Amino acid sequence: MNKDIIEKDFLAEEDRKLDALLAELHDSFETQMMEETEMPDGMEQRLEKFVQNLEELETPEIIFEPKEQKGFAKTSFFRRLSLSPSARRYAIAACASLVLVLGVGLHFLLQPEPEFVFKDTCKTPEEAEMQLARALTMLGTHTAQSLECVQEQIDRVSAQPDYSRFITFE
Amino acid sequence: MSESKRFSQRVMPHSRRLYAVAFRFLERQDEAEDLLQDVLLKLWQMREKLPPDDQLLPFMLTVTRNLCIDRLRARWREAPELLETSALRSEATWLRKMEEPAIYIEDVEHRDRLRHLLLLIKQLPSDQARVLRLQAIDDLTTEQISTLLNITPENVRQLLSRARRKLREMAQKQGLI
Repeated sequence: MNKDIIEKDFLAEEDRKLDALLAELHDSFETQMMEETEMPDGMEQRLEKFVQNLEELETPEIIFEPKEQKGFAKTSFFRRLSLSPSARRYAIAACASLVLVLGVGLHFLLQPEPEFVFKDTCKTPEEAEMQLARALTMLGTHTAQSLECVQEQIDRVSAQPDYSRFITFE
Repeated sequence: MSESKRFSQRVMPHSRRLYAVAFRFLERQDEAEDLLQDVLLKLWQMREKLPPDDQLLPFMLTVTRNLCIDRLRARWREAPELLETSALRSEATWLRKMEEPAIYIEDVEHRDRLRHLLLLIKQLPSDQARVLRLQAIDDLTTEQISTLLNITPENVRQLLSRARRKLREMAQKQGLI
């Protein structure tokens, strides 16, 4: 165990020494590189000028051109908003979702309510009595017809011979 | 004072250093200058968020290195054979230059130690030496090396670990550390 720790410490120490040596190499290389690299003639001035022109290069986005514009904006909506491509995608997705939600909501909201028409059946009590009498007569007639049918079936079944005596149970 | 003047005062004193890094990576004067313009443009676009002066140079160097990596990758995508030749050439240039650090190091003992270390690095397998150089000399992170060489970060870490172990063993054996 102790041997392991000693060996580990030794390796860590060696690593530190190697790092120090590599750092020296790095520094010496940096010095050498800086000493040997000369900027080409006029480059510094060109870069200075480039930096000075950066403000001019940064042209403001055209938002609205009332004179040239006829019906539609010259630049696209998202370009005018200066959105990055990923932000554009999110914006389009958000708009699509909004339209969908609004469409579904409006569809349900604007559905016509069912019409409930209350209609009186009769105008006078006499008429009502007459209707009731008709309904009861109809009920009575149909009930009688049904009972006749049932009676016919009972008679038909009872007219058949009795086969139960042929059936034996062990 | 205009904004571009203020920006220029902060950034331009480091232009030579940035150019040196760009030139070291791209090995072409016109391309290095072009890249420097890209760097300035990028820095200008993020001028509101630039770090304070004491952290500005490391930040600018990172931006420069990242743009160099992008360019090299594009160059190698167009002509894959350039990857190996360019890597070999830059390694050869590096070793040739590094074999003569004497000019800037007056201490003879120090100079010899660095030369010795260089010779040991030269003996490493080429992929290990390349990764070690990119990390220790060019200051690239594991992720940057992985992007540049188109290998996984895990692979980079493995190569680095092997290179360091081998280098440590050799240096130890020869009494360098």
